[in-house]
Order: sequence, then C-alpha cells, then structure tokens
Amino acid sequence: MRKCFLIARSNLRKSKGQTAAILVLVLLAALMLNLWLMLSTDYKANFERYHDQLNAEHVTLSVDGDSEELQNSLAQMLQRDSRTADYRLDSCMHMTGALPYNGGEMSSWFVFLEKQAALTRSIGQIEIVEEGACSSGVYLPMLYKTDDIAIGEPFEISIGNHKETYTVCGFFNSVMMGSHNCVLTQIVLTADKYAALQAAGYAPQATLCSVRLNDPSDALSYEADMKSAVSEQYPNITMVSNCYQIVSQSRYISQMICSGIVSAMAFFVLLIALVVIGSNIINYIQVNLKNLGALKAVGYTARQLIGALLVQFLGLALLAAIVGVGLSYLVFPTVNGIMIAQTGIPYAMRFLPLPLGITLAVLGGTVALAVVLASRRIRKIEPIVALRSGIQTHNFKRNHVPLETAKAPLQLALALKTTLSGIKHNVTVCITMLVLSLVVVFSGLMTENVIADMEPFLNLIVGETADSCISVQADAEDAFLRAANADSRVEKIYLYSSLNVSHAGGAELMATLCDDFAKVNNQDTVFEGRFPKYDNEIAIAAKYAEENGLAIGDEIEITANGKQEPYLICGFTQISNNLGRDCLFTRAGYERLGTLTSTSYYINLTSGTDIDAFNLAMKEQFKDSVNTTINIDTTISGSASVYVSLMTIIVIAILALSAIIIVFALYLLVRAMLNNKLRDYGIMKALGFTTRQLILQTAASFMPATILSAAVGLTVCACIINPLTALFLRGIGIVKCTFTVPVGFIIIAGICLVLFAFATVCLLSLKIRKIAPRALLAEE
Amino acid sequence: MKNRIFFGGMLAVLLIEAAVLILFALPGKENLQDTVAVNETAQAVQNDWADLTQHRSRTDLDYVVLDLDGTVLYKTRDGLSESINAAIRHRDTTVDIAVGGATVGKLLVANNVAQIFQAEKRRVIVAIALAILLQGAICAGYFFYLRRVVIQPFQKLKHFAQRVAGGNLDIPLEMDRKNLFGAFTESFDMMRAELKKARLAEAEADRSKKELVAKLSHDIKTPVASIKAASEVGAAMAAEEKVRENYERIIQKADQINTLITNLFSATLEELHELSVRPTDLKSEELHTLLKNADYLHRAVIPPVPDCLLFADKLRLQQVFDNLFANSYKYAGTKITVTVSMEDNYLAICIEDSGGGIDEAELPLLKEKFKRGSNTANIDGAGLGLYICDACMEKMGGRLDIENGATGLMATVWIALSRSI
Amino acid sequence: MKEILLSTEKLSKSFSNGGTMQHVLKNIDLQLRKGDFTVIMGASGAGKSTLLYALSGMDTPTLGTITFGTHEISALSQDELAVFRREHCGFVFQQIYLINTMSVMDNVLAAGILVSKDKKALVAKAKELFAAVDISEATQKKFPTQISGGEAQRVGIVRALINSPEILFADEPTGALNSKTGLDVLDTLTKFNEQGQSVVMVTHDMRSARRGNRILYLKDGVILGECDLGTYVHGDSQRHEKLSAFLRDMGW
Repeated sequence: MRKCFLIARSNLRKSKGQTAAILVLVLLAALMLNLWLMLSTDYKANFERYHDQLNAEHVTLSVDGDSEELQNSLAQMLQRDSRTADYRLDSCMHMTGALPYNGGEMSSWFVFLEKQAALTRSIGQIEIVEEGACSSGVYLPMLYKTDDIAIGEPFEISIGNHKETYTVCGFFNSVMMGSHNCVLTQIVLTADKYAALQAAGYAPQATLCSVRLNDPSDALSYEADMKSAVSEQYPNITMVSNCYQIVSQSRYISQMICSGIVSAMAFFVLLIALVVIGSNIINYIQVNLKNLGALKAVGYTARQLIGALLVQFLGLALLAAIVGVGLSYLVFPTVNGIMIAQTGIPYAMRFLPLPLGITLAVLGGTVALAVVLASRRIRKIEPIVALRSGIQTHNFKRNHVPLETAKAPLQLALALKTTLSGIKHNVTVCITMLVLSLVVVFSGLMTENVIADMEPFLNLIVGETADSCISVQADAEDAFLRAANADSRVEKIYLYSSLNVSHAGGAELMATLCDDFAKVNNQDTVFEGRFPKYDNEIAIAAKYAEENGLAIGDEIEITANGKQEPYLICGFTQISNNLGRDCLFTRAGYERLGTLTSTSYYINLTSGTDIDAFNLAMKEQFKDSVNTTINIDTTISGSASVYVSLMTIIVIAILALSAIIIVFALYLLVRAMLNNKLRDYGIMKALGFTTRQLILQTAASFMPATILSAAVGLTVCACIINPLTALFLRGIGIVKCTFTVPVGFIIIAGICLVLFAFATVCLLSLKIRKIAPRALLAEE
Repeated sequence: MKNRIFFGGMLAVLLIEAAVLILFALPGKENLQDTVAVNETAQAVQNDWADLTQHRSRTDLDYVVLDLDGTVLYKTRDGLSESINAAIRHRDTTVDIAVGGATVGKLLVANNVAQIFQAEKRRVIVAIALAILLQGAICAGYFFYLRRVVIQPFQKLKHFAQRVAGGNLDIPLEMDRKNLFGAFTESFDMMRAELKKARLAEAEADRSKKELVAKLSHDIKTPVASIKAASEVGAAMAAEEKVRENYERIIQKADQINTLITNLFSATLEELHELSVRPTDLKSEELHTLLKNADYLHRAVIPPVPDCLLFADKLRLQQVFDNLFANSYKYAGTKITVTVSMEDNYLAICIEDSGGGIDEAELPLLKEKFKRGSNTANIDGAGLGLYICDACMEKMGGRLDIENGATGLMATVWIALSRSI
Repeated sequence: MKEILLSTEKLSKSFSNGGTMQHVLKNIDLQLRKGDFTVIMGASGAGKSTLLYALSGMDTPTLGTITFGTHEISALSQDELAVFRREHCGFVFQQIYLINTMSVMDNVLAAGILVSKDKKALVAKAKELFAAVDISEATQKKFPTQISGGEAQRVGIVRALINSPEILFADEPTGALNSKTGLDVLDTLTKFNEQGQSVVMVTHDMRSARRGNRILYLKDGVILGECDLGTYVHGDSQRHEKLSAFLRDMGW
C-alpha cells in the first residue's frame, strides 16, 4: 500500500494541470449530483414533515353557508365515512378574488378567516412567520411577500367585484391554503376587519371543513366522494375544495422541473467527466509505458501498479467529490430561495447523509471502473517491450489523406491526418459535443419559448389564454353576448367556463366547457384525437386516462348535480393547470348533466385595447349580472414571471456550465495530444513549420469531430427535444410538447460552439510555442 | 475489419428480421372499430336527417343510411351492405339513428377488416422480400470480397513462389495493404529480400577476404626488409663500434629526459603566485558594466562593445579598469576617451585622457615594480598599480600597452577572445 | 574562390546550467562556401551539434552574427527562423526523426508543400530523389516504423533535399546506423555533393569525415584547426593519411 502511495504521489506531481482539470470536472459532477439528490429526496419529505408539524388537513372543502343545519349534515357525512380520522368545521367567508403578485396579479379562491380562529384551529392551523405591530389589518401567505407587499404597507385586494385596502400585519405559512397553486388561498384578517368584511357582505359566509384521513392516499377519491355527496344533498351549492395529492404536487411543480434539469446536467457532466478521465488514464498509460515497464522490471506487480493508479484517481475523485458536495451546500440556499418562491413552504437546509453517500458511491464507483477498464493494458505490458517503449507491432496502418493526392491545403491535410489517427480523442470530443448540443438546444428552446416569447410555454402550462375573462349570470347571458358581439373592440368571444364534475368511480375532474372548440386560441390543448363536437363526447386529460386505462373511443360515466351520463372519449388533453385532472365538454354535452348558473366568456380584444377599461365598461353596463372580470394578461404575467426568472437562471447556469465543461474537456484532450505529439511537433518545427501553423493545425484536427458531432447533435436534439421535454414535464401532466424549435438560434449557437472550441484549442495549444527544435537535441 | 463489417451487417439484418417476426407474432392491437368516427357519423346523419341529400360524409368510414322501411337514404359508395341482413352477414356495425328521442333509421358502417388484413399481408411480404434481398446482397458482397482478398492473393503468391524457386530474387511480391493476408504475404517478400541480401553478403565477404590476404603479404615484406638491412649494417661494423654507438644512443635519450625535466621545472618556477587569476569565458556585454563601474566620475562615454566571448577574469579585469581610471583621475583629471575595437583575436579597449602624457623615456618604466612617473611627486602612490595590471592581463592571455596618444596618456587593454585552453 | 554561402562572426553560444553559464561555442568565425562538403569534427561535447544547429537557424546564438546569403539570421525571431529554415536549409538528424504517423512519401511532401504549392512538380521531384537514393515505390508507401534504419535515413536525406536547400545540414547521419547502411548514407551524401549540393556534416567518426573536402576540428567550442582535403576520390589513401595526420595534430 505504501508503495502505491509513493507511485501515486510521483504521478500526481508530474501532471498537475491534468489533475486540476479532472478535479474540477469531478467537483462539478459531485456538486450537481448532490444538489439533485438533495432536491429530489428531501424536498418532498420536507412537505410531509411540515404538513405533520402543522397538523394540516388532507382534504379541505369550503361550502357556501354556515347554517347549523348545513354544518350538522356535513358533520354527519364526515363521521359516517370510515376513512375520516379527524375533522373540523369552521365558519369563514369565501369568494373569488385577486391580489397583486410579482408585477401582475393572481386570482384564486380566497378563504377569509379570523386571526384568532385561524391560529387556534386544531387542524390546518397557520404558523405566523412574520408579524408587525399593527393590530388591524391582514395576514398573507408567505409566498406573497415582496418588496412592495411588506409589513405596515397598505395592500389592495379584489374580493369578487369589490376592492378592499388593508394594512399588511404579517405573513404566515399554511400548508394546504398557502398558494394560488392550491386552488384555495387563505387570507387571515384581524377581528375588526373580519367583522367589517362580514358586514359589507362582499364575500358570502361559508363553512370550512378540514379533514384528516387515516390514509392520506385516499384523499383524492375522498374529495370526489364528499363533493358528490354534498351536491346530492344541496344541488347547485357553491363549494371549492382541494386535497393532499393536488396540493403536494402543485406546490412542487417548479421544484420538479428544476431538479429534473439539475439531474440531467449532473448526469451529463458526470458522463463527460468519466469519458475524459477514462481517455486521460489511457493516455497516461501510453505516455508512461516506459516508466511502468521499468517499475514492472523492478518487481512491481500489475496489481500494485493498477492499485497506484486507483489510489491516485480514486483519491482525487473522492476528495473532489467531497469538496463538490460541500460546495453544493453553499449553492443550495440560492436554489432553495428560488424554490421557496415557488412552493411557499419553508425549507431549512440540513445535512443529508444519503445524498452524500450516493454521490460518493456513484463518482467513486464510476471513476474506479474507468481506471480499471482503462488500465487493463498494464497487465499486458511486458517489461522488456515497455522498456524499449513504443515497439509497435508490424501493423499496416492506413496512410490517411495521402499528401500526394490530397486536394486540401497542407495544414488541413496534416490536421486531418491527426484527426483520423486519433479515434479515441474523436470519441471523447463527440460525446462531449453531443451532450453539449443537447444542452444548447434545450437552452435555446427555453430562451425562445419561455424567456423571449411566453406564449408556447403558457399554452402548455396554463392551457387557454385570451385577453379578458368575464363571468356573467346565466340570465344576462344573451344580452351580454349581443353587446359583446356588437362591440368593435371585441375580436372574438367564446364560452370558456370551468366547473367540477366527477368521473363515476374515479376522481373529480375539472370540466371546461366551450360552445365551439374551433374558436379557442390554443388548439394544441387536445394533442391526440380531437376536441368534442357533439353532446355525447368528452376529451379527458391524457395523464388521467393513462392512470385509469382509458383510451379514445371508450365510454365513461360522468356525474354532476346528482345526474350520471355516459360520454364517448374523443380526445386526450394536456393541461397542467389541474395536474392532469381535466376534461372538455361541449356546452350541449354538459347541459345533459345540469344547467349553467353563470358562464365565463373568454374574449380576444383587438390589439391596443385597454383590457382593464373594457372590463370596467362591461361591468358598468351589466352591473350585478357580471360576477367577475379578469384581466388574463396581468394575471398570467404575475405567475409567469416567476417561471421566466427561474428559466433565465437555469439557462445562464447551463450555458456557463457548458463553457466550463468544454474548456476542461478540451484542455485534457489538448494536453494529451501535445504529449503524444511532442516529438512530431519538434520535428515539424525543425523542418520549418511555424508555431502559428502548428497551433492552427492542432485546432483544425479537433474540428472534424467537433463540427460533425455538433451538427449531428444539434440536428438530432432539435428533433427530440420536444418529446424529451415532455418526458421531463410528465409529472405535471404534459404528454406532448409543441415548443417551436428556434432553428436560427440553434444554428448560430452551433457555430458559436464550434468557434469557441476552436478558439479554446488555439489558446490551450499555445504551449506549442515552447517546443523548441532544440529539444530534439536534448534527447542525445 | 471487413469481416467485422460483414458479421455486424449480418447480425443487424438477423436482429431486424427477428424483431419483425416478433412484431408480427405478438398479438397485435385488436382491430377495433373507431367509435369516435362512428359517433361523429351518427351525429352528422342525425343532424342532416331532415334532408339527407345534402349530407356529406365527414369521416373516412364507408356507410349506408337506411330508414325504418329499409330504404337506402344515403350511401358513400356502391358495393356496401344495403340491408340489415346483409350488414349482419358482413359483420358491419349497425347504429340506430334517433331524432327527437325516436328511432328513425339505421346507420350501417361497413366492416373493413378484410382490407386491413390485405394491407397487413402486403406489408409482411415487402418486409420479408427486403430482408432476403439485403441478406443476399451482403452475402454476394462478402463473396466478392473473399475472392479478392483470399483467392487472388494466393494465386499471386503461387506465381511468386515459382519465380523464387527458379532463382529469380529480384522481382518483389506486390502487396495490397488492405489485403487480409498483407502481413502474411509481406513475410514472403521479406524472405525473398533476406535471401537476396544473404547472397550479396556472401559475395562481398568472399572478395574482402582475398583483399586482406593480398595486403598482409605486402605489409610483412617491409619489416623483414629493415631487419635484413640492419643485419647487413651489423655485419659491416666491428664489435667495438657497435658498443660505442649504443652508448651514444643512451646519452641522446638521457639528454631528452633532461630537457623534459627542465621543462617541467621551469613551469613551476614561475613567480607571482600570489596573484591568482582565473580567467573564464565572459560575454563582452559585461565589459560595459565593468567600465561603467570603473568610471565613477563619469568622465568617459562608454561606447558599445561588439558581441563576442572574452577570456578573462572578471574580478581582475575590474581591478585593471579601476586602476587605469583612478590613475587618470589622479594625474590628468580630464575627460577620458574610451574606444573599443576588435583586432585579430583580441578586443582592444583604449583609454585615453587629455593630460598631455608623460616623458617618452619614462614610458617603458611605468609597468615596472615600484616605478612612478616624474610628475607624481605630490601625489601619493606605491607605483604598483600598473605593474599588477600588466601581470593580470598577461595571465589572462592579454596585455596592457601604455603609450602617449594624441591628447594624453593612452592605455590599451588587450583582452584575449575565448579560445581553446 | 567559391561563393560564400554562410559566414559567422564571433559566434558564441552559452547555456545556463543550474546557475553557472556554460559556454559551448566561443567566438567562432567561419565561412562556408558553395559546393563544399564541410565536416565538423570533434570529441563529444566539443559543441559540434550546437554549432550545426546555430549555423542552420535551428537555434539562436547567444552572441555574434550569422549571415546566410543576404539574411542575417541571428536577428530573426523563432517563427521567422522557421520560415527561413524551410526555404534554405535541409536537415538530416542522427535520430532520423521521421514522423511515425505519416507514410514515407507524406513525410517528404509535408516538408515540400510548406515551400512550394506546385504539388505535381513536388511529387515528381520527390520521386526523382527517391530513385536517386534507391528507395522503391513500395517503400514510399510504408510507414517509418516499417522500414530499416538505413532506408529511413535515406528518406531523411530526401526530405532534407526536397526544397532544394542551399545547404544540407547533417548531424551524425550515420550515428544510429550500422556500418553497412552508414556507408550507403555517406555514399548518398557524397553523390549529392558531387552534383553541387553544399553539405555541412557533423561527425566524430573518421570514416565519415573522410568524405568531406574541408575538415574543421572543434574543441571546447573553438575551431582548433582546419584541413583542406580537396575533392574526394574513392579509395584515395593520401587523403586518408592527410586526414589522419591532421587529426593527430589536433590531439584526436
């Protein structure tokens, strides 16, 4: 063992640059891997921990009215169900509304609770995180805390059609009602404000049922059952609900996307690092054939020599991995900050032994494997042969690019010779470039579809977008439509209402109705089959269909308002809004189950129209018949900006990482090549080649592999990036992505990648300057 | 290499065939009626029921619409089942058409399983045919390859062997690099080359042996001749003479030894051991610094020194310059002109002041021990400086010249260029 | 008097060796004439190779000037020297130094195309030279590791001559060869010299030195002596004796 150390130490001293480059690659790989493992293993667990800590509910249901009779029948219903572990009923107010968020606004279903009540609820209580001195005002979920919305600042909130201004008193965390992604958003008011709101009557009184279940995995069906039970007893009653699965998933969308990307990056960095380490070891053995032979001649066994290499590389890799893991703990708070902005669940960083173990095991194992595989040659080295160094067997090598007939200029021909005789290098270059082109294409895709133009991304995440959404009472519908159709500002108006139905024997589905789906803006919503056209057709979410084994052409039973009707599945949708629990009906189709009490219309306005002004005008005209008006533009820009900033960070990080990887991988390759060709370069210099020529020649020899693999990689990636992204986003119900692939960007990026590689090789091979023809004499 | 391509290709084709077979063998997707299309058709027919003449098919299904009496109201093409019975026999899909809750007619959607089956069969045939063709092509390619690579070279080898057997060693065996037997056939050619070389070497050795014998016989003649001549002289001279000559030879050799010893001693007897001068190779550019150092009053303009390698002791050379400059400061106190020139194997550094020089008669004495010029009465000094300088320069293989120049006393330091020691 | 091709003035070369300066060449004043076969002799470490490499622009002198035709090459930068070398000098090395990854023909052409763009003429010239040094077509397609040392060195000579250099510099061209193949190489050099090629060869082998018409003896970085042997005639024993006498004088 000690001998191994001695050899390892002398090896290390000889190749400082290579060692450093490998260290950095392993370090990056360890950083990414550990980050990914931390994100994917502990984040979800953190939600559960937090859920338990606050004794949060598994199913939340907010039902119109708080009469004793209603509450009693609800209580009976809950008690009857054997799955119920514990429940609680509280009086509250609820109403749809909007509040400013991230430069736009976010609309959600607000549940108003009195502060004392909210704090003392035995189930689903809130935890106040920050609190000011004021005694009259509002407490908001932590997620909405921004520079503008801070303690002591006034804060305007829309409740139904009314606007209220409160002073912000503090912020709290609520597991099940802490974000707009949870369907329900809790707003806590101080006693006086609560009473004032009650008196104003902007928001109807409601009963908030919070239920804990014996088995949280039942939550989904429990929610559906409970809602159908309530609607059976009280038809057409307004109720809003959420459940554990939906919330835990929706609060982790971004975390899932982010950790997916980080994991992919970690994997790629690891791949490149291993390829480079492998090729480096092979090169090392070639260069040191003489020394290894000498050591063997002295009496070292192949096992000892391989042991030394193992000690050398494994020691380095583990050391770098530990540092990398340490670094990942430094980076984590930043990532955590971005995540918390999305999840709204606080996460305290803590040491996680499992990811550390896995990271070390994966890196150590793969490096060890690379070393063992690469160093198999040592076993075969005969000391005598090795001492004579490079006694090549009588081989018939092809003379690539014979200069006699080659049409290419000398420099290029010589470069091509080098390229064709170094296949191992080419493989390494190819793998690196293929991976990098995937990265480039991905960042191009994200830049084009998320950062530059949000439309495709929104279509995917949000589903349908228009300019304005106006919800009117059923009785005013005809008048409203006439007015709207007559209005010159209106470009297009179509029914687009959402309400809840249940799949008989399955989960609750969010149904979206439209009078004619040919009118909707996002025709990609249904990606397989077609939109429903007739009253007996339905399109359902692909994710739900997959989970329940449903296919196009199947018939499913849908219940609502106590009625049950069969529908024929005519298409699959992908809307990530409701995490894959959606369905589409024609209006006629839904009316087989019940009538609409209010209808939401999506309106496209002519460009340049002030959306808010239009909404206001409509509201003036129809007064109380208009339930709500939503400026979809601002609503979306609010929640979308979070994604934009997240993606921007990811794209920048990815590109920076690619640059680092390419530099290090090329560094190792160029070094290996220079070591191999030291003698040849010396001879060439003696023959009259200038340094410039040799540098260009070296750089050019990398180019065929670089250009080819970049071209192939970019083309292939451009083709597979959509399905690949869909694979990433599968968790949130996306099955098929239709992002526009930015061809121009990819071509330019490809050219830049190649030029960057060329420039890097040129820079790295500046060492050729130091090769003096005189060095040939030194051999004498 | 080619083998690998061949076997790889074969393996790939086999794998593809196996995959295709498995694909066909697997229970395929059940051939289901497209319910959505049927529903769409039914809905369309219901909507258009009032006037079916305006009805247009919206799907690619073939169907017939009957009223309750069995009259054909609409059909997409001829040749379809046009009655309920025909439809049942043909396993067609039958759907009731209901308008306003009452059944008003029948929709018969044609069963297209037979067509699908036909299409499937065609696909299988094409796939198998392609596989056979591909395999055939690979086999044929390999056969031609083998022919070119194995059989033809062997034929060539046969002719070659016949030639070698016939004693013709000059015609090499043409080798094809891509040939599978390249290395093998090359060894044959190597054998031929070695045979040829051996034959030539044999001839060469034969010739040189003859030469050696001739030369030795000539060489031995000479000493024999001198021995003969000496014996002749010995025979001519008397015995007393011979003894005297032997004595003379001994005296002569003793003289030689004496000279050698004298030489040896004369070297050690040299004086001035106290001044150790160790000249080494010195770059001429260093002279500049030495001169600068010596001229601390900056009375001279130091000219550039031509590039060369000098043989000098840096320390002593500095001492020489210091002395010369100090003398000038002391006795003349004027501007100093320094010129450097390369002459023969020396670098001459000429240092001249404007003090007018000294009496011509005193010049040769200046370099003597304890000698000083007549104008130095008021200035103290030991009169050793120039003596030491001269000695140093001589030890370095150079010399020091003192003479009267145009404006004053001129000292020329001759530094030897590096030579073999 | 023949035209002077190259002259040096006070050429010196020093190396720093662990702090102490080592002067390998000292004030060499030397003139090489067109058509001469100059041989630089001397014991190991006398600075023969250093002189050769300085003369040929492979290395820059520490002091002194080298004038090659009209160029003062001692003042050129490394890259300028490289361009100069490819046009005016040919090299034959003791270790031969063919590039192992290229075929024999390509080894020669790689040097040739550097200077001339006319590939056809170049290939023709290469073939002509190959024929002159008795390298067969088959060998031209082989790789340096597949041919014998003597062949390799003759290829080295072809490579050196492909650009029609003014001077061919040879550094112990027979050093790595056995005596038979060494003779072949010497014959080749002699032949080219007879055709008017100026050659400068470094050697410590008397048999090789005999081929020259001007012998310089180098000792401790200084040209100790010079001997003019006149034109070479095979087997001229007078030359041999003259050379032996000269070398004895020099303390060989």
